[in-house]
Amino acid sequence: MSRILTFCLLPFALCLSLACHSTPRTPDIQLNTQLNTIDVSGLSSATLRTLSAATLTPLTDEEWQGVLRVSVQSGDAAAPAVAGKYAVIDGVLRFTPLFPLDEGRQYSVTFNPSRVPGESSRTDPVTVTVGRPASARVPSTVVTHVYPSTDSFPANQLRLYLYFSAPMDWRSGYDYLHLLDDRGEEVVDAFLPLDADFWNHDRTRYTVFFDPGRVKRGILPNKQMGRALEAGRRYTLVVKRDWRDGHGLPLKDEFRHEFRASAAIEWPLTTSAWKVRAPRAGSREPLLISFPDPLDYGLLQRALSVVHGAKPVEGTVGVEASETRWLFTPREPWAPGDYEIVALAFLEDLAGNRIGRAFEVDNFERTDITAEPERTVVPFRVQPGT
Amino acid sequence: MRWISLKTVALTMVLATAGWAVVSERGTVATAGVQEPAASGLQSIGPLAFGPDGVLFAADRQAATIYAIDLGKKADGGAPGAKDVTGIDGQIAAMLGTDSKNIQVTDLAVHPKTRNAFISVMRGTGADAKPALLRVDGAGKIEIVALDGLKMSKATLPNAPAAGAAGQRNPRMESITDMAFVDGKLVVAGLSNEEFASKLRTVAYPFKDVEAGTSVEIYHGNHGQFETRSPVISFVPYKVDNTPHLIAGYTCTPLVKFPVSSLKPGAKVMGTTIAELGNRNRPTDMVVYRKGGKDYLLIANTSRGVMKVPTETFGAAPGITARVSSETGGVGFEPVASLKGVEQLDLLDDQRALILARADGGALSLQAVSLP
Repeated sequence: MSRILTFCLLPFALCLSLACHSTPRTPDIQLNTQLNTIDVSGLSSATLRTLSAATLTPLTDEEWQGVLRVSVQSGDAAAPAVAGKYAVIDGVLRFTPLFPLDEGRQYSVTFNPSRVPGESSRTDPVTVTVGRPASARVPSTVVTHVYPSTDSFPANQLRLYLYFSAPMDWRSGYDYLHLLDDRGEEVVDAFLPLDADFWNHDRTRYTVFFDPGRVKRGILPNKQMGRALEAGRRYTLVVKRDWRDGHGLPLKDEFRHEFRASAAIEWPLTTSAWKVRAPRAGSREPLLISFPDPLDYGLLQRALSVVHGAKPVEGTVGVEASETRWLFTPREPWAPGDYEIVALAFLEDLAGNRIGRAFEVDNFERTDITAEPERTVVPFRVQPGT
Repeated sequence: MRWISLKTVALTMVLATAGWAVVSERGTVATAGVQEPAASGLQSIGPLAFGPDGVLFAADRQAATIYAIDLGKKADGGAPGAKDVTGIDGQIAAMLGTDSKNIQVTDLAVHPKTRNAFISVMRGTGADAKPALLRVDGAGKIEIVALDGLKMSKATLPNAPAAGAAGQRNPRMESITDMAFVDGKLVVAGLSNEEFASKLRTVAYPFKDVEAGTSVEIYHGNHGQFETRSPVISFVPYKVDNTPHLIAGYTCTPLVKFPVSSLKPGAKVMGTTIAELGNRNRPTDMVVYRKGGKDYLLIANTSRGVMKVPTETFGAAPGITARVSSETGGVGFEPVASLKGVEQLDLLDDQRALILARADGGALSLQAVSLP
């Protein structure tokens, strides 16, 4: 029986083999959207064997690109090929780009059989265009908060925080920020032209610095242009819609925040002006500190802490009332006794004033080179319950 | 003592310089790793600097981490030197499968032995942006240096303390603006997305730990005010009167010298502003070179072009201790009008600098230029 089967199949196999050699199949080039690879199928077993061997005896990048070249479709024929890895897997020649191919971008792919090592045929190259479809996402990212949250900024306001609903592009936001005065005219050079990475870790918060050279009295930019903000006038912060989010999409809407400029704050912070409301022993009610003027929202998150018996008290921080109130809710109920509020030296108000040290520091004739106080302590007592 | 010529990188900020008070600040100590080949782990790539034996320091700004990369065979294998490449941003982008609008070249450094150019690039601009390192050789061939599998160790800069925020991720980030290898240690400058402050840290190499760092206060003659918090933008090590110094640049654009020995946590030193190079400007890169028996500092700026500053008077120059009446003052400089659009700068050899310059049309090109 087996001899009969062999006898019958042999001519068929020979015929198939001859047919394959006489009319080679056209390779099929496809973008594998699941793996984000480019797969070439329909290659002869001999070609696959040769290319498999090439993975053991590596071809140079140029040799691989001679066989299978992937390039950004740009009209520049001399443009370099896209870098990536080549392998024969499951009967296909697979190109895995070093970086995932962009959505919405077209790539030209050329398979040239005659460049397969040892290949003697003169089969013409096959070129196709592949591409991942453009994203169907629609703009949805918005500015959710601005800090300071008050609608009154001192004329020497130093920085702002912009919060976004989703991660943003990592580039600077300088080009997308505008400040308009109450006549609708742009206040030029209001912000520091930084290309620094002023994002938080997930790029949902961006720090905007007013140009300190204009903020600070007596400095040349201040003398030439004055402060960007004039007390008594109204302004509008504009965040342009074309600032891109993490998906490369513009914001859903342009964002505007109106505020009034008030008198500059040019004196240092003093903890004696803080009002502390101590909690009751046995409760988990928050410790509350009230400040006479708003403090910097970002720094309030980490510059203040509570210590009891030289150990930090664990709990959560809240900031309220336009950054004039700091609340600390302990994880465990308050034990009676003496506590300390520890303020680290970098705590600042809206104008960059620190504890015992105004942003408008002395001029050169009175240069102060003493070290800043590292920490300031404000004691309070949790009274035993009655 | 080993004194390695190196390059700088840059970023921004205003204000700055004349007397420095270096004030210690406590901080936690970094993590450091042993050398082992692995997935690179780099989230981003920014400033580059070469250290001893061709080790490449690459700053991961997003992670405030510096990687010391043993390039191994990636350091050479190509033709020595670095040939000009016109429109190199477009070529790099094509290799990375995108267009030039979708990449950002973050630094350029010349290998001390092969003189090949190494270029750091961020591919993509969104949440999926990835770092890439490329090498350009003397034939103009551009190759991607695969970071995975290379031996590397790392040092992470300590973030500022976060008090009372247990369980919350600290939104403060510290970004690395520049670094240089000086006398066995890496000096790192950084700035924060919160407090307006300058940090200079030293990290011994091989990495063990990161010193808590010094914060720097400076007086800026042009600004006429004692300024406390201006970050160092770009700096270069240089021996002034045979004493190791850092020459540091800020925006607006004071040039300050201070001894490397002052970079000790807790120390207080007075630095010296030796030049005011003009307002509304910031330095992006600087190198020191020698020509005709004299040393010069070559500075690339954002809005005032490239400047050549003779260093022979750096030692004797009186510090600028009063307000200057004009936009410039102190040690003189010579504008180099022939160099335009320079974004990155490093020494290629004794005679030439290697620059990345952007043409008016927007394309970035790698060019070797004679030192002025």
